[in-house]
Amino acid sequence: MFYFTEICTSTKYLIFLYKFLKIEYFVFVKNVLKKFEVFLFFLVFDFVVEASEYKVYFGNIHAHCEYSDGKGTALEAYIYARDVAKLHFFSLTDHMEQLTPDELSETIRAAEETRIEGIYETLWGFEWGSPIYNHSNMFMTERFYSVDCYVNDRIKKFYAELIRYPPVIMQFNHPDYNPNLPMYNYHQYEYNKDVDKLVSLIEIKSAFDKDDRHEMSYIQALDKGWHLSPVCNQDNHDSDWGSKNGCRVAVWLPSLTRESLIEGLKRGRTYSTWNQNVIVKWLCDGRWAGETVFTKEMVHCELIVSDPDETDMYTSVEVITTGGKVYKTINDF
Amino acid sequence: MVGFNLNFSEDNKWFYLRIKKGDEVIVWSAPFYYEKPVSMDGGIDAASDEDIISDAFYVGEKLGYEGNNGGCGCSFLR
Repeated sequence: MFYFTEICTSTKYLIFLYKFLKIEYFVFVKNVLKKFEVFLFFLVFDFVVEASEYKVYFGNIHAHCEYSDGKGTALEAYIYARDVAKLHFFSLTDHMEQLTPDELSETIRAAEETRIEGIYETLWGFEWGSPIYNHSNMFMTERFYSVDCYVNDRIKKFYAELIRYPPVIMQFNHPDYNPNLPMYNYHQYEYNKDVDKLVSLIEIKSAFDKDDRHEMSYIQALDKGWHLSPVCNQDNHDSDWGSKNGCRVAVWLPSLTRESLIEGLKRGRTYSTWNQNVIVKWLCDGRWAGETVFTKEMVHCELIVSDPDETDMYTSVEVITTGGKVYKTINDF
Repeated sequence: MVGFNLNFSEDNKWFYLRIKKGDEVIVWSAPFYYEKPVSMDGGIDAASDEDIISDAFYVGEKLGYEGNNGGCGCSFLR
């Protein structure tokens, strides 16, 4: 939709853009050096795709091949995820310290060769690992970050490097909750506003972990101010890229393109699921979870939970809030 | 479809959903966040009654490969 009620042609006007993506107002302030004369023009530039036009896509963005401690080649992995596991999107993320530049190039080549726009989209990256701070997936960057992690408290150096050379997408991996290790999980998710701008995802449940320690870390990170959305990845180390179990990253996108996938993951329009096709659409005041910060206190939400498999019956929804408290339980939906 | 209200406050600064099948959690949703409006101009809420989409997730620096700086393995986890 595109509305145009008045056009300002002067190049002397300053433009202030209010609201990202949903640009509702352009405010043109006439040359302030003259008469401080202010004109307000109304230019509504609404290029937000309506929520009803979004679709949910399922994928797996944590997997290994023989370039680190997994099986098979990169090309085999990307083809398997597309043709056997029938994923909508997939990414290899071999361990950075085991990956050579040539192997990363091979991974990129495989990702590019196998993608089919609208049907199967690919990302590529690697898994940065520290025995002290835990692991993170870095996507769409060829920079191999320093891992000076045997020296105590090098987190600031790592963060500085991240800020200088940010990955396109970053994800906190398998965050096993362990408050007895002060430096674990990046100093127990001590908040860093600059790094918060880089990290958009956190694994909450992966194929390795069946207990709820991931969710406790999710709560801990949210309480400390991080803006993170949950994903479920298979962390494959065998030739089962996407078919290991029902663990999936679900993401709402206007269309399945690489650009759209990156945007959806960076903005956090995801959910973490152990069911490979459950559809969960949760909007409050017409906005998507993950990407919306409200500044008003009361909002109205609408939730749709559906599943193509008739045997998959969901029994309750718990609304979780600060500290992990159950705010509300919904049994009839 | 089910509708319900959420009431944000300093004690409820974010909400996410846990969708269950019996006792088993199947889905964890992304959260909605709350930030108290910043007061400006003698106490007038600059952003009252407005909700904003966070742009906190956007970065634009050029990326570049500068070689493998080595690593320290992943024995702690797997």
